[in-house]
Amino acid sequence: MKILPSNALKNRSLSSGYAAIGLVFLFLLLGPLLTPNNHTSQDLSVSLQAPSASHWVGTDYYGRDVFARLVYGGRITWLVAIAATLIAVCIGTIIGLFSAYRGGWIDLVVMRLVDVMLAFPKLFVVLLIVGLGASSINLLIWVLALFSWMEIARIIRSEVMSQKNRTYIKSARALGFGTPRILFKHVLPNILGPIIVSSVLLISTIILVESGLSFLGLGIQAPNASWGSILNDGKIDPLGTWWLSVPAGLLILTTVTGFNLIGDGLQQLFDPKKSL
Amino acid sequence: MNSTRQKQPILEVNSLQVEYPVNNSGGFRRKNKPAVIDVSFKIFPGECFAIVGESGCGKSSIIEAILGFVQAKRGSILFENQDLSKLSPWSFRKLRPLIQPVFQDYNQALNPRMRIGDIFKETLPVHLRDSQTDQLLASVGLSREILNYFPHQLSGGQKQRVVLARALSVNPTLLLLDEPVTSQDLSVAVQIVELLISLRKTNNLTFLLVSHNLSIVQLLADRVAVMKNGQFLEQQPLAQLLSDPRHNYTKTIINQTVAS
Amino acid sequence: MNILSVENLSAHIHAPDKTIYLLKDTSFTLKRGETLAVIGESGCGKSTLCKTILGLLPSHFQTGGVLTFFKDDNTFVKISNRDGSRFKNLHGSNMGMVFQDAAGSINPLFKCGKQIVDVLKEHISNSPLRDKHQAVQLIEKVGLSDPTDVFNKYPHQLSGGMSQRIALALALAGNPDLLIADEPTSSLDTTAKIQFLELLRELKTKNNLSLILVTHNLNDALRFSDSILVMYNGRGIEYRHTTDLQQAPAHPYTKALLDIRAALNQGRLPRPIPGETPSITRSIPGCPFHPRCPKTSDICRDTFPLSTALSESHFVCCHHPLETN
Repeated sequence: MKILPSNALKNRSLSSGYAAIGLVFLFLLLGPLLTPNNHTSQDLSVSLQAPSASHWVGTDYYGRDVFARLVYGGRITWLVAIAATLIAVCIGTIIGLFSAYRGGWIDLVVMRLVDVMLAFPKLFVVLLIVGLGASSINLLIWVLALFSWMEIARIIRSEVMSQKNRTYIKSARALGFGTPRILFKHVLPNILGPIIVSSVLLISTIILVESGLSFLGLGIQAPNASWGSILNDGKIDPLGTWWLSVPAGLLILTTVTGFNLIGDGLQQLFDPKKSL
Repeated sequence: MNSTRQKQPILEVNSLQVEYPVNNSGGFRRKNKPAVIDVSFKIFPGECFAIVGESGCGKSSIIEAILGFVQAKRGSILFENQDLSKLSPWSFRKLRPLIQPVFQDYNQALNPRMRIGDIFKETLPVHLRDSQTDQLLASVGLSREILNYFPHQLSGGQKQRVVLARALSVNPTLLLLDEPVTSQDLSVAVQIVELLISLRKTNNLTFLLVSHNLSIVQLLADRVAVMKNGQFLEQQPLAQLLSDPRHNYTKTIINQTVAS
Repeated sequence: MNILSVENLSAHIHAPDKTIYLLKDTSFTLKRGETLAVIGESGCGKSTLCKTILGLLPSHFQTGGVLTFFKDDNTFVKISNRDGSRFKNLHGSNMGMVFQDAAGSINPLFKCGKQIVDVLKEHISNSPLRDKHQAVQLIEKVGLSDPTDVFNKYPHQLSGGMSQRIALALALAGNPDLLIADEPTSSLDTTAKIQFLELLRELKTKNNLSLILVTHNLNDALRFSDSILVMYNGRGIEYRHTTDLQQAPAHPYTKALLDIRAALNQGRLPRPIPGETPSITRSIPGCPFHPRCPKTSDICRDTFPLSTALSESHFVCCHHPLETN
């Protein structure tokens, strides 16, 4: 398999992407083992301390250990992004597949729906929904997914349109196979490339969106944390309390760049003509 | 030959009209370009009916219409006396295995991600798989080792044989052959034609053969229709067409074939 | 008078587990004004031969052998081991090329006339007015009626046959002495194909144009060429005058192909050649045709038959060649 790390060494984007994501992943996985500190325990006596031996990345306003919060928050950030991406990809794939294959007025209606959703002033609706739903992580995941499936649907639709009239699909139809079987067994495996690439790129997009929302205080709420909310904690004095802004920011940067590199590397493998 | 004419035709096409929309920039005005104009013919069990014409004359559109890939504007297509347009989608799907196409583009006719063995597993019923696979492979002259290969690892001739085997695996009555050997090398084309001739006998098949190459048609066809610009110019038994062509266009085609 | 001499031309690439030879030890000589047809089935190396002569192989291919191009001023250019710059000098002004995919060889963004003028500017600098005039003349020369109208058309506005003629005009714009056409008519229908080949023949007679025509269609090769090179599994296995080849083929493979053709012309079912054409990635010991040849013997399985000279530069590569007298 071409995407495995062992084969990826020849592809610079892919290898650097894997390296970046690998590092962050290790950090998230092993973090709690490295520090005795808890991410929720407050100790106002040590509030806003710079990094020290006992608190490697310092503490926040409530005296919570930032290192632990970065680990825990990172997990939340990744969880939200990956879950939302999976949901968006599932919805987008199914809609894209059937809409493109059926064609006709179904395709017309569905695509107009996609256009309408894409044209929506997303920010306002997201603010509204998130504002109402306050601290529910599940709601956040679903809202993010609901505003992300359209792009995937479009990509899949265009891929299916190009495969629909291929001779092997026509032959499958002529053999009497039903639509679901043709779509999932014949079309889907042949368009996996673009799906995987857009999924990976979607993860990094959603990380940025969620971080932005949390930074505005709308996404992940206390006592939960995410990298964006940690940035929010540090916004009053970003330079002074640099340990609240810089590490979280760097982690976001590394993760997003890492996924983008993987996405681009995969793009090079699947279709060299389209890579950036 | 005469006895077949008393039987019921397997396929009956009446006044078929097929049109394709022409892309016009802007506006809702959709102009349609006729690809098949008022075409009628019958194919009787066991015979090979050929349609000869240049590329673009509409012969492939007839096959598309029979397969239901394109809606006919007018006319009817009857298979074993059933009007295909009047069937429910489910009934039509059940009928599909009986009418199998063999497309011109054998390179794209097989799912590139499936091994040949898996391709056969899809169409053969589970309990009969092994014995039938062997039988199928033998009937098209292929050995068991290709079951493990992917399509891109096969030669053009092998691919075309796999396509034929796959079509045969669902026990069809009628084969629709769209330029089956046109893109093949001469030596391979001859092998495939020989194979088609023997399969027709052993499997009791009926052929609709579409080609621009009269030399190939000569080897297989019982009756021939000449098509130009969407219309049938004439329809005759092969021998009569060659010895006494009624249309000038037919004469041109015959001359081109002989001269080469 | 010779125009091109090809000696032991070869091309290969290195795959992880073996070396793949796409072209092996092929030789022939082309006279001025002569048409050579290169025939063979898929994977025989005829396209590779064209690209090697033109120096158009991708960089990871390695070539061998010697190409000698004789210019009309009695000088010659000898090229061995892929010297890119020397090829470049010959392109356009001495060697022109026409490919199978006409639509792909013409730039869809520019009008046809402009593209021809661009070529003229590159090789024969004139005033813009003269260039346009010459381009229109070229369009007429390739048999297109209403050349000024075609001059202003975009490629997508032309039919397949017309596009192929524009591709020919582009190839001839630099006034080359040698034209290499790789399956130029495969995408055309029968009428357009015959017209195009007749046009090539006319140009050959009028302008003394030398032509290498690659085709998989035996009929076209026999009808439009002076000599024929038969290729199989990357090698030239027979090289003869067309009339000689047609009357008395020396190689069993050639004979089998001619027999198939004769049978088809008479409406009979031809006898197929047993077995499959070997893919170029397989290297077959001895003579590559031996698994399928009716005259195979032990020596055929061991050693590749080196060329037996038949006359001048003509040859056949077979241990048991057929009678050619």
